[in-house]
Amino acid sequence: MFATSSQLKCWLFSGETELAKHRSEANKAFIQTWRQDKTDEEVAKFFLTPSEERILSRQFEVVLRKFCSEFQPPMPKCVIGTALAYFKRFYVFNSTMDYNPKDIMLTCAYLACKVEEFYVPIGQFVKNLRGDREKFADAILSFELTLMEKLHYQLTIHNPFRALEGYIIDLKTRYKEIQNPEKLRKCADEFLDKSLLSDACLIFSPSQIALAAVKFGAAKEGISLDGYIRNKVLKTATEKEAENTLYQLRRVKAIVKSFEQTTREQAQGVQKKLDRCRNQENNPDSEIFKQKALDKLNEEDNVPAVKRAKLSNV
Amino acid sequence: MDQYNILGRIGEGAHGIVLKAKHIESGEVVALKKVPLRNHEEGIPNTALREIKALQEIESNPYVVRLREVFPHGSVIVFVFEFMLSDLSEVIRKVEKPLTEAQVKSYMLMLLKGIAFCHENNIMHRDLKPANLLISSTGHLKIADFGLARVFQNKGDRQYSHQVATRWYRAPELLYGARKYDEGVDMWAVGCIFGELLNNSPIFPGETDIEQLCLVIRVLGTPNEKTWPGMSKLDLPDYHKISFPDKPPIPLEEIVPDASEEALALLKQFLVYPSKQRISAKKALLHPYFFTEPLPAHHSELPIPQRSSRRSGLQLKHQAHEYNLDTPIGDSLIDPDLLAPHVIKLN
Repeated sequence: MFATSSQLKCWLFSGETELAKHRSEANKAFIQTWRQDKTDEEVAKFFLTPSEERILSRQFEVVLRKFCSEFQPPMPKCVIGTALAYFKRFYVFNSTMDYNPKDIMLTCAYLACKVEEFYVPIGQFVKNLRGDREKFADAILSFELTLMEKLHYQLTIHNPFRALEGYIIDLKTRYKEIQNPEKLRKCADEFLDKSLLSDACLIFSPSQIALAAVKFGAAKEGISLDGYIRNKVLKTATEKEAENTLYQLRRVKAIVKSFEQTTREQAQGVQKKLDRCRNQENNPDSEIFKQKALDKLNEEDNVPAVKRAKLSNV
Repeated sequence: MDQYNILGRIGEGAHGIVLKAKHIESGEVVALKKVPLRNHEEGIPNTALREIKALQEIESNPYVVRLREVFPHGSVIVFVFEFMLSDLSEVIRKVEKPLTEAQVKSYMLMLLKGIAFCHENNIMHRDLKPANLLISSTGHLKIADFGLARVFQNKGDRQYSHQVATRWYRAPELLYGARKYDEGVDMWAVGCIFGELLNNSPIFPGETDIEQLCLVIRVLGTPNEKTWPGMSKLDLPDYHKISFPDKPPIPLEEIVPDASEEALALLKQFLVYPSKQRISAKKALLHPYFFTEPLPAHHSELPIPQRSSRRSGLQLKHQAHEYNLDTPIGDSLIDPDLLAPHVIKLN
């Protein structure tokens, strides 16, 4: 149920402005921790700016979607939607300098497979990657817990795909003005697919996105759905609520359509800068990361001893 | 982890150890379930993910155990639950006299309310059994262990694993290996638990999967098109692997001889072959069983077995004395004459 979901309560933001605010706070917090005695000028040169971070995360959203759509065995849509939603949620409150999107991206896809009950063993999962697969597997597993923590353990994602099915069924049964609602499907699907690369899932409810998709699909076919939306979907809504919904639908469309592909050169420039300023503690290739992983395992071994000590103190 | 003081060990589950602890800041006693990740090649186990997923999304309900928080500790995930004193299996095992009808009704009422809530939220528990029904220090029953819980969709094309649920409470379609099933599997388990409460012993205690099926068939009769319409069309992979001689059902009256008429009437609605014909939790709550004398007992009239700790036992007794409703109110008041000499009169 979306109405009682953590998605509605914790993961819907008012708009791009609020998202930009959170992201730039994450950026600032990271710089604050790592700047040491760098002057403002040096900081600007050394660290990524919020807009550079955005270029990077957008770039990786594209890579992640491509990875998912080429994945073998083929991923159901909801897995792709969930993976991208995780990735976007993660970088609302975290900096790309702190956690490299390359690592987080794969972990998002892996966790989404599990949560959406699309079972792919890790060995098979990394077969979809080129390079040192064992290293990929280790990196994915080592970030899984961090990812869950940063998602506040709120793992259920309500995707717009089912809502779209619902609207198509509804059109077939309650709105006879359109002869064959199936013909909207292709364009509506494309709209949803495109929405995955926007911030839509952080701003709108899945049913709003789906309705915008249906409306868009219909418009492409030269059909207006205004009658359906006003008289069927919003039949019981007040004038004000109806106005607001129509406004939100326009917003969804604007946000989905405003997507701009970042160029490879742009992303490469940022990537180079990132290689120097990233947090080495979260870099699976660094010595400090390996040491930390070892410490974690040892910590676990020590727990029983600590417990006994505590018990005997009681 | 620093926020908790470990008080002791509660038990060891299939997925890790469970500790009793005190939240230092609030003083609240909690149960910490530790799920180790180290030996999992696949990272965080699915059971842990399902439990997080199911419990994070549902709003709090008095009949579902509350997940207070989750946090990582080294390479362990720690689930923090409200602390529960005991569970229903312990109640059934340890009570000195059999549960009264009013007490059984009360447990069933709480169980059904919890299940109705889960099903309304599209969650199948899939592993209901007395050991997963926890009992609080106030006698309340709460459903726990959502490690097998699945969020279901009423689309009907989803395939699930049939190796779910503890054998004694496993529905016949699962015993036949069905991969498509629904909330009905929970309602079958509720029926088994109901029977166990009425009898004080499990009604289908199979030692093996085959024996389990034999026990169910002995009571419900060999399934046929009449008792299980459409069963030949259902996808029951293991159906042809084993066949049973045609046997008529045994009346449930003989299986639970001491049950009242209403209890039997309700029990019969849980224990039927077709999953869709099993009464839903929501409907069962309206069954005459709950509205005929003796009415369901108040939670304070339910047994609370001690989990060995002597100290908490004393505390409970102490409380019972302080709030004893049977003591005349006059006894707890102070005689005004005794106070009179100490009152300072103004003016």
